[in-house]
Amino acid sequence: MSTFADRKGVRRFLVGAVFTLLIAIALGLLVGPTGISPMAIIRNIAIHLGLQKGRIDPLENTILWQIRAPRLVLGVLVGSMLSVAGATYQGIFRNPLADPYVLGAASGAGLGATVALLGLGGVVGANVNLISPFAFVGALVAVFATWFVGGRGSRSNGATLILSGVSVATLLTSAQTLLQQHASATSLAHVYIWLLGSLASASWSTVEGLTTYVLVSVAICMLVARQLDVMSVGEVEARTLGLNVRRLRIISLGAASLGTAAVVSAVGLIGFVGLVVPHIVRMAVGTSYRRILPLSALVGASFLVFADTLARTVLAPSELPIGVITALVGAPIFVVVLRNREVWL
Amino acid sequence: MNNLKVKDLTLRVGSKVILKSISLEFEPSRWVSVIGPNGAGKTSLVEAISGVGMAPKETVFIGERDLTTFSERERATLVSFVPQNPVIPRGLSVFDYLCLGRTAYQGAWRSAGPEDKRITEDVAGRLGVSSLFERELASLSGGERQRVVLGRSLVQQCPILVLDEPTAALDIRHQLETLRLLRQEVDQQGICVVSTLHDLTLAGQFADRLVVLDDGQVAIDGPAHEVIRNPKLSSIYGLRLEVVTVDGSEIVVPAPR
Repeated sequence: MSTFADRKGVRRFLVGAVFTLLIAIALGLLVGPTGISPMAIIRNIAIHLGLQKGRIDPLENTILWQIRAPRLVLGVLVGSMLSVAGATYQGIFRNPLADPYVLGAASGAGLGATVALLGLGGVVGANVNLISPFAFVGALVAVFATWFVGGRGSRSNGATLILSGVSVATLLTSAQTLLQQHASATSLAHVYIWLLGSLASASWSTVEGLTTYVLVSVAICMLVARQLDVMSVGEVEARTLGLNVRRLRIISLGAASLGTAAVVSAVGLIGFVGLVVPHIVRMAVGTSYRRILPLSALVGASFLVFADTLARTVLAPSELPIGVITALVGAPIFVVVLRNREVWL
Repeated sequence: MNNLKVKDLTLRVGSKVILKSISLEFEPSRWVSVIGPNGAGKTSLVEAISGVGMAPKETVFIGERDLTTFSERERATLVSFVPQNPVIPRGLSVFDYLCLGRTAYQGAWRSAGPEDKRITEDVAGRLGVSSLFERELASLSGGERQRVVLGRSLVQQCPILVLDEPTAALDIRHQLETLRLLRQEVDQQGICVVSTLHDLTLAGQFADRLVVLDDGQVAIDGPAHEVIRNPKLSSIYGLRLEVVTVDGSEIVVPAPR
């Protein structure tokens, strides 16, 4: 493995990533508790495209396009968003341990969801419909709090931000634990399940709600890819090269956090994707974010779609939390890649 | 016109005064070296004038304009800076690293264009690093690395180049090589170089002018060959210094007791 991949190597990786995503999507469409044969799926698609005449089976049609398809699209959105956000955080902080939750988005969302599920001492009644908006607001409030504590002032830098992210996360997690003290076992189970993440709630309306956030956030992260490359020489030298580090930090962290908050509020906390995928991509194609960001989006999408397909088939008809799968599958892959690494950050 | 000026610069960190009312002016085609004992404030001074330190408003000027009023991008076309321990990113080729010096001239999105490449190749030729373009930066030897880091700052094409201890990590041959390259840039490109240097002999041989800092203040300021003979220099360093001449070169040595 060369330290910086040549153009040909990058193109090969790109082709491989696209191909893998297509397989992941095809597999996701094919697999499920209701058996639909590949031929039936091809026939259904052909009829929709007007290539073939015939009658569409309404049950098959509903399962394919109202249940499986939105779930696949959701997986693509979530996987690419978490991976792009993770890569962006790693670039801004020049820290290989950074992931989408480094600024406290996860614990903020967790607290928000818990408040929605358990209520808040008579001030807010428990309401399942509020989980998503509360988690979204919680994640954003947490990120703002982190920024307020460690991101302002001339002496702030990446390290102060990460440290205040850790503090805010710890504070919010203990607040959440406090709330859970008086909750019933059933509500606790709800909170627990939500925290582990799942795409089971997927519908076209979930997808619709998420698409704008993900597209805007991913686009902004990719637009600053070149500036993230300049950050590779550190904050001080990047400034002497003419980079407005403060502005870059606000723009990219803002975009990545907004996207992460939207994703978390829709599917809960899915760990490991945002940490692992950028590293795998980096080790394959080198350290330039102009390559890492788009390829992370692709690889992250495949990874999540695969993981979700596994999550809903291993114990079918019941489902495993997808967070369990991403960690269970992701960790060994990561260990293998890590042991063969030549490029770090 | 684009002279770098320091006017009454005082710098405090907490309650400690690091620099005390320093006023200096730096001209093109001149190499000024800041010398002095450890802790005298050399690094703080060069960081302040390069814009990475925290110089108060209205203390450092380029021409008539306050340095703190420039945007990062504007400043990066006027002053380039080489820190004592540059960050060496992994997985980056020498050519890509050199091109980082063009950041201030590029849009947020566009990568290096033909003009950027021409300038980069031109500088690399002058420094003799063209053959290293495809190598990974982190794999270079200390001497090669220092030339490439110097190259990145020259690719910025700034009239003012500030360096903090550019020879600190180098053996004597590579120290001389680096300083010769810098001298060549001063003489041929007409840039203004401000550097800190530890080695008094090399400072005396290569710089035009020496500014001696002692406890945050300018103690001596004058032509290099005069300053190294200034008796005050011995008392600043707290030992007797003598200048001996070997084959016409002046060597500063601590005198035996």
